[in-house]
Amino acid sequence: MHVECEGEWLSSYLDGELGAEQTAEVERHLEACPACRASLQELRQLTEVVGRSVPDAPQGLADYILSAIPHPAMDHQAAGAYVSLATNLGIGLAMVGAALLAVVAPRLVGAWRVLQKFIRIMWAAGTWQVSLDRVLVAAGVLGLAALLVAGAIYGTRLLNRMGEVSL
Amino acid sequence: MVTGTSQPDRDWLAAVSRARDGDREAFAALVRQFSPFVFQVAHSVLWNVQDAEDVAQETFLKAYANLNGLREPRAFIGWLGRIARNLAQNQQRRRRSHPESELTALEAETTSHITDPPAESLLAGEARATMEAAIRELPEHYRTALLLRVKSGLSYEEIAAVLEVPVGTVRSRIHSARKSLAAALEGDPDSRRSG
Repeated sequence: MHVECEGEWLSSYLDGELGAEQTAEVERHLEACPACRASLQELRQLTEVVGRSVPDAPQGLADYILSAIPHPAMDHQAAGAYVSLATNLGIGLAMVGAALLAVVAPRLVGAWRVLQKFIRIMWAAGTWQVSLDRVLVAAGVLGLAALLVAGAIYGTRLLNRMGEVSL
Repeated sequence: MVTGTSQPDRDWLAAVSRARDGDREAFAALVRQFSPFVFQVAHSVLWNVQDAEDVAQETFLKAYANLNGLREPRAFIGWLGRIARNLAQNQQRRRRSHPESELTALEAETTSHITDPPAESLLAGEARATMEAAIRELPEHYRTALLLRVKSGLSYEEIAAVLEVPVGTVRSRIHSARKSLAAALEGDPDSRRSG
């Protein structure tokens, strides 16, 4: 190896990137060469200044990164199992819901009729000029719209959740 | 070995293996250990703190999604660094094709998404500005090689894996970068005194 006043060797020596034999040779040379000792000192100072001139990673960086990592972590196989479970659960719940509705519906219809009668009586006593039928239709439309919005929000959440899992 | 941690090699290698098997805690440990390094890779390309944070986040999301494709845990550092560098270079290209975003980029250069106390280790005033300008003037592949050594403590071999060049090229780039900085700062004695 030829190390006489060779900057690249000094740079590698400073970084601890020379083999044992090369390191020993550079050190022998440094003992005999004041110019290289001065160069090494300058390189060391320069490196320290470089280190302090560039920003460190912010302390909260790891948390910032982890906040974007989906949780819980699952591999694709587990994600598939999760989606399948969610689908089966959804179908099951829908079936139970339909059965309950079939049992409860006649009673709901009866209750709705009683409620309508009550509203009509109360309405007749009032002074508003708006047709009661129109009010009932508007209430029905609003109720339907609310159901649609709730369904859309729930559906979007479900899709997002599945998207996270499958990452 | 990436500095800033006392974890021995075998610990992060084991964490890579566990994370590859779906262990989220192991992946979180990798994020804690390697996020400063990923930030430095991105920052050395973009020279912008906010963008580097975003690229760091994107890098780990991509790593999380593709970790099971990494066969050899020991290759993790180079693999992660290459993802970060590619994403940062893509971001740089987008920035160049939309020059109007340059202004925003300059504003965000030293600010962060993350609220941190001001870094005490930074040099003050003129000396810092001179050195920063000199580092910024370096060709990107020289700058990245030097900063991965100085800021992240990577070995030449690890830097070679990130930059996809031979170790000898890394050795020569780091030396050339130091030589260029020394020459650029020749007429600025304040910078030298600050060291």
